[in-house]
Amino acid sequence: MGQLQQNSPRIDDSYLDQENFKHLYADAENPNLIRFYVDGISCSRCVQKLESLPQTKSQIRSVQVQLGSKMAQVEISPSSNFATAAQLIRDLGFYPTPLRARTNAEDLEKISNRNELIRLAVAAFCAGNIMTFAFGVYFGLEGELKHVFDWLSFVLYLPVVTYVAWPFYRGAWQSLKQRQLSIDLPMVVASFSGFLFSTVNLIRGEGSLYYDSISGFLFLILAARFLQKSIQKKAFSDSFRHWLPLQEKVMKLGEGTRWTPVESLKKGDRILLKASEICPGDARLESVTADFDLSFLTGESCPQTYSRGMTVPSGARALSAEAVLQMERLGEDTTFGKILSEVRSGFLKQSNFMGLADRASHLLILSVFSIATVFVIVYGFWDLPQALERGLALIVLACPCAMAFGTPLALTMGLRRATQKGLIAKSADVFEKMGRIRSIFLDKTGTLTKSKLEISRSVPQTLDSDSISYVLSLENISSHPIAFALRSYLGSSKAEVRLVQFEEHREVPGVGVFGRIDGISYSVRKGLDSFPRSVALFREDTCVCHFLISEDLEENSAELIHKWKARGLEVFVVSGDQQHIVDQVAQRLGLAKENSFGNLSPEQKAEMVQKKPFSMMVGDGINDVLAFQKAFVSVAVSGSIRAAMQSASVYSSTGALAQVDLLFQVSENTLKSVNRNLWISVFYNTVGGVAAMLGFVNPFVAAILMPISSLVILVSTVWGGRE
Amino acid sequence: MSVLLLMIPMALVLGLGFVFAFMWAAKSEQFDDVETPAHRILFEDDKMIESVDNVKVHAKESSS
Repeated sequence: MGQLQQNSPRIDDSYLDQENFKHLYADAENPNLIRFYVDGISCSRCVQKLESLPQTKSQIRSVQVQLGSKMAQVEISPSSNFATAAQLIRDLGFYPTPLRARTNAEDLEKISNRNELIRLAVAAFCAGNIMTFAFGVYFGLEGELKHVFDWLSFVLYLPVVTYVAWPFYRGAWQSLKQRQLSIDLPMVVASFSGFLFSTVNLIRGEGSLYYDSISGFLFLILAARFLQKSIQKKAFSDSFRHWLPLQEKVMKLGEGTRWTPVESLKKGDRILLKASEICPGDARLESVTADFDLSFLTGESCPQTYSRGMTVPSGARALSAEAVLQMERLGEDTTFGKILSEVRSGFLKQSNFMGLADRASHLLILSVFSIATVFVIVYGFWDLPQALERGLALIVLACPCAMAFGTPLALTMGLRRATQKGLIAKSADVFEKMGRIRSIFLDKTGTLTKSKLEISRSVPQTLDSDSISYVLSLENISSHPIAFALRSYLGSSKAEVRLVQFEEHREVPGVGVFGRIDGISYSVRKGLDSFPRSVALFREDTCVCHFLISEDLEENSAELIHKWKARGLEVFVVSGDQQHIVDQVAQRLGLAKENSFGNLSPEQKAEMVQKKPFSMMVGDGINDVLAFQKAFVSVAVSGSIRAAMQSASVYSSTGALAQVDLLFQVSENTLKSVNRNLWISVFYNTVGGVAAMLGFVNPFVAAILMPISSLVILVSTVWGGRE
Repeated sequence: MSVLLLMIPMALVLGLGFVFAFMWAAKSEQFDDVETPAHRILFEDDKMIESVDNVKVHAKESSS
């Protein structure tokens, strides 16, 4: 990991200093500042190497690394350039990719996070100090000192009722505007009326002061919400831009062939696409022939051969060494462009799913309010001061604080547990949604089957070292998926391999690789018909050995599907691959033929998913993004494009189907936890409310009961959720 | 009793001081990244070695 290399492979970074790129990457305020995503950072030593660059290289003024997101912020000295900075980072053994300059949205988010932290600090300070004074009073303090302490509590409560409670006021106002009840509402009523009545009592010189209980629970709830938000965000911390599969630059041909940002391409521009680059728009092929991998669009990695004049779709990945194309359609006019923009906008969309916890809290709010109002009115005819006193106690105690605290806590624990198991959920409402799922749609390639082409075995089973070295040497010039498959299969055999030099060594797109030694021609191409789905090494026209290409199902797939069917879920297989292959897979999984669908385009998949209510889509690759957005719950299985994560509800880091089953389990446990907390708070509210109405509750009792209920909920969440 | 008249304001002022210190730290972006600073204390200080040994030591780039 990271050795000092004076001469790293020559990669051209000079485009970073071109005007058109500088305006993308250089920081808006400081033109010498650029941010890189640095692959290869893994530990403190890496951070040190990068951050101590300025000490030995005067071209770099400063480097600041963020370990979590692998980002390095580099400031160059004015006499140097960005290309040098990139090269210096490469010399250390890392792989830098430039990142777009900081956006306004990112800055605003950072500021809002800081403000939340500050609010928590103020809340803790005020609540803690108020409680210190209140307890002095509870334990018998009287007279003038009590008077002083009470007024101090009042002064310390002022920042609480204005600044700390502000998010609750905002939340309550917004929900009122939408004619919905939210848990912010009773919090607002409690904190404000608590303030009002307590202050009246303070001025009167008698009666209860509730400053401590209210500031205490406001702090607890803010803390629980902050925790939930930061755990949700931690899983998604990487800047998502570097995941977009479309590279940012492409070689444009014309007067002065040079790198151009993809976004400044226009119709009619001619570009040179190198191997493994992605075609940035629909383009007409000008080269005689070229191979492309369309897995981003169809999920299938079988290469397609295009000839001159054909239109290569946006998102196709070039497999041939070089291809010249002329742009026809760009951006959102292309299928891929539409998919990418859906990914971007889907990420920001808020879900307005109304869960069980929300509805339970509505019920509780309504009942608490109505009971309190009725009580105060009825009892008020009898004894007004007592009625107000007991009404205040009722509102403070029975305010659904336990619920406001308990639900975010249970959901946060659920999220943490899911993350520990490798399931990264975008938001906590996925748990409840999982409970309602009725049908599951599984993508085939990459989800049910391993996503890369793989060689399952060779015929004959053991190969002689000559054959191995010939195959590897022939495939050496190819970046075709089959070449990768052969390399990984043969690389795993223990035989020592020496590469052989061929004459007339060439790759013929769509056919295979050819070469000549001592006048004998060798090739690796499609095998004989007796071995369907295979490639073979040929010596002249005689077959030497075959390599069978497998489409291996992930282990346990069939068992899991059986388990789901037993629960009453409908399971379907959907794929862009040919119908008969999909049927084979479905059969091996024990699914009926009506449940297997092949030859589907991304739009058709999305349509199918939309037709079934409460459907779950499990897939990978950007081609499933449209279906993800129509599904009730979507799970992105890794092994392919991580950008799919932006539109899916859950991302599975190991990619095994077993994780989907784990998701069901974690969801069930989390919901049980939420339920338990709801019942605890109902119990607490009932007992406390009755006690308040009977006059048994005073500030001291409230100050004790409130932490006890919170503690019970905390224990129930942490301990009860253990498996 | 009169001691309290001194101690209580002092305690509050001290507490407030910490709140303001926290606010300053948050505003100067110190809480934005809480992971990386923990690693920075592990940096080896090659310059220190040079002065202690009083020998010219080249800035070492040891392989990991």
